[in-house]
Amino acid sequence: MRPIDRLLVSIRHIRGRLVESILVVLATAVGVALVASMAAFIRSYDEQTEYLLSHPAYRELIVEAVGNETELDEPAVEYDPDTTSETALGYDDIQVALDNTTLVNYGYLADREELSTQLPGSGRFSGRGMGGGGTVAPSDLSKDPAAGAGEAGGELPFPPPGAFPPPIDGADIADDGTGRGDGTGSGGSNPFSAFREQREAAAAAGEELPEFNLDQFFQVDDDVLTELPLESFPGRRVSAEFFQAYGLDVAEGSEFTNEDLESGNQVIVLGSALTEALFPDGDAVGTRIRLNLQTYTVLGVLSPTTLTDTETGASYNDVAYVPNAAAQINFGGRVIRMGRPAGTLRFAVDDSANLDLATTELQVHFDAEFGDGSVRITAPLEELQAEREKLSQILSVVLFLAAAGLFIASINLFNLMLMRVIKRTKGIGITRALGATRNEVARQFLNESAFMSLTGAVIGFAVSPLVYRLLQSALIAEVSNVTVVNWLFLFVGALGAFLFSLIFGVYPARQAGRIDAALAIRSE
Amino acid sequence: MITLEGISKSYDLGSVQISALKGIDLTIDRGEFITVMGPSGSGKSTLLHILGILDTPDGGTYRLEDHDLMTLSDKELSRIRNQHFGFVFQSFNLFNEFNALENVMFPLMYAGIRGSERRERAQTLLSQLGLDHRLYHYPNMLSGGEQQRVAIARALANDPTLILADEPTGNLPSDKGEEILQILDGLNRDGVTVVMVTHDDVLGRRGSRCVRLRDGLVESDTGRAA
Ligand SMILES: Nc1ncnc2c1ncn2[C@@H]1O[C@H](COP(=O)(O)OP(=O)(O)OP(=O)(O)O)[C@@H](O)[C@H]1O
Ligand SMILES: [Mg+2]
Repeated sequence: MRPIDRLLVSIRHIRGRLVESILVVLATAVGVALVASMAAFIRSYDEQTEYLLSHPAYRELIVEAVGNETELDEPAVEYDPDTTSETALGYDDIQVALDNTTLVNYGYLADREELSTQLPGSGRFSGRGMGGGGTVAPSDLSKDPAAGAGEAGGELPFPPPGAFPPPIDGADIADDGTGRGDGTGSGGSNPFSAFREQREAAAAAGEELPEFNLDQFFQVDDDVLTELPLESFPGRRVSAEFFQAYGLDVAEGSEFTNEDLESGNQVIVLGSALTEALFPDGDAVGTRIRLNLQTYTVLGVLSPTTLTDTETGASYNDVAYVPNAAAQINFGGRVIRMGRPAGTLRFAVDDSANLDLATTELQVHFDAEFGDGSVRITAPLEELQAEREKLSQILSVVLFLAAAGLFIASINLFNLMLMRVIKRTKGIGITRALGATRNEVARQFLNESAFMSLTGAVIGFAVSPLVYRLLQSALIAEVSNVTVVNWLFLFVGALGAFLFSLIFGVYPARQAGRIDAALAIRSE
Repeated sequence: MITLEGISKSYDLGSVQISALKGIDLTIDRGEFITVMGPSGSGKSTLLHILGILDTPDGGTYRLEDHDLMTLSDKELSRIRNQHFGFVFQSFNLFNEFNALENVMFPLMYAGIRGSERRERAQTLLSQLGLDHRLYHYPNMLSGGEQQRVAIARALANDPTLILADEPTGNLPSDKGEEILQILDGLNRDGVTVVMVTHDDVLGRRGSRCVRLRDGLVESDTGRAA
């Protein structure tokens, strides 16, 4: 019998039992979709885990003063400068820690900060201040800038409360005359103190206080770009070793050094994609741009990297890097350098196998330096592993349920086919009388079950991307990397599920082939 | 054409053994019209199934032309059934999911004949049997006589040399039964060998030879007597 004839006969038999066939096909489709999407999902999940484990962020150790954990979303303790700055960790502590440990390869600062090209009031302006200051609304700034600048506890976007006014500890004030960096003011005059003098003079004379004009503070030189294609973009306030720890190289220009950082040079290094967005015409290096009310000189452009942010999933190519100003503030043309506090110190190892020992080393060092329990060291890797462990268990359960769904669907197919063999016993006898071999009878039934399996598999494969999305949002909504559907594994999963379901048609078909023709013809 | 020697068949029902055939010797020559008669349970259907190699005997030999059928494979036996034998049953046994034309095409399908040729051949057979206007009717839309004619067309699909009919008129009123018998007669005149089981004494005498069975044995055989 020709395969096409066999298929046509199959379709007629399936049509003759349409409702039960459709139900079994749909059940198979559900099973196939579940198994296929789980296969693709687990594959993506594994790939993501592999990627994350190789990510520099998970070779990091985060050191924070107890009571000053800026990494926490919601501080358990209200911020209180009197108590929390007791153990103030500073940029200078990094080098000391590196000198006193052997397994720690890198030490750096790396705080997130959104960099905005906009003036306050003219657009979104939010900054995560050095060491954990929150977002400051523009209204806070314009309320009474003089008070903010002159009095302790004033609210300005740049330093966190308590970190201002400097100097606190070992701070020095440097003129912005290094050539690399650039203050916002023009020349040596400080518009801020000018305004203050103006105000004091007016107050002394009993005149009306001069109106505060924001613009005078943000006057920039003519060559400074204030209009950029992006309103804002993610930034990192880092110290120089961050680039080494994250394996970021410059393609053009240069990275900044810790000397830049210490001198308070207002320089910036841009990710490759960000450079293309900001400077579509090229010539980024050497350009001066205004960001977060400060003027930065573009020092270098990084080579493209495949790294993505472990929290947001954003590419590191879209990020800009500026010297971590935990050590200084450039305000009104003056650089005010502070020894501490910096908030969060970061250390990293080249081989994450050393992470545990490096943690111990750091703990010993900081306990000796600041007293037992004064700093807390956390390893993001540990948290990741704990989270992944939990997710793996959930995935195992879901995979089991998916497999169970396919199994039940296949058993239904099995039962349906067995029932058909019994119901068609007499027909089998007649086909044998008409010249069908035992083998042909078996193939006919196998063809029917395979046709239903295949239809179910095709439907299941078609809807599996939807199931995949569903699983994704239900299972790891917080992990943003697993967004791309792995079509290969989706297909392989569907194929495997189809083959699995196919096996369940074999036994009924063989039973059909074994039926005794004479007995079958006598049956009713 | 066919030689049966000492054919026996028994059914094992656990406690009892039923001997349906107890040693049948029968020779069928080409062109004969044999009627098989006998009381209910005498083994007529069993004999017919063995003749049609749907069933295998427990003992004895079956020779078709020069072949010993006991030595052939399922594939070879199926091919013989398909190409040389045609079955007609009392209860018509058409496939209800398929129309008249498709029913007739089944043996042609097993023979591996292509769609268009198959259709043409089935159509010719059905019109020869006066069913031009019933090609696309499903079995449940046909009268008993029409169904049996479709069944005969199906049996004739591959130009068989032997027609095996088990009470083909049993479910039909006598006038329709007569119609069927005329068809078989006509086939026999064209050279097809016919073996027909019947209960009807009148029909039993219509053949060229009548074999009577009783308790699994040949009671009488007009062919031998003659
Ligand atoms: N599958 C079977 N299992 C057990 N006994 C069987 C089986 N098939 C037939 N028999 C028995 O074999 C004997 C012969 O049966 P068979 O059908 O050949 O008789 P028959 O002459 O065709 O009868 P009828 O005229 O009623 O059709 C009967 O006694 C019957 O009960
Ligand atoms: Mg009978």
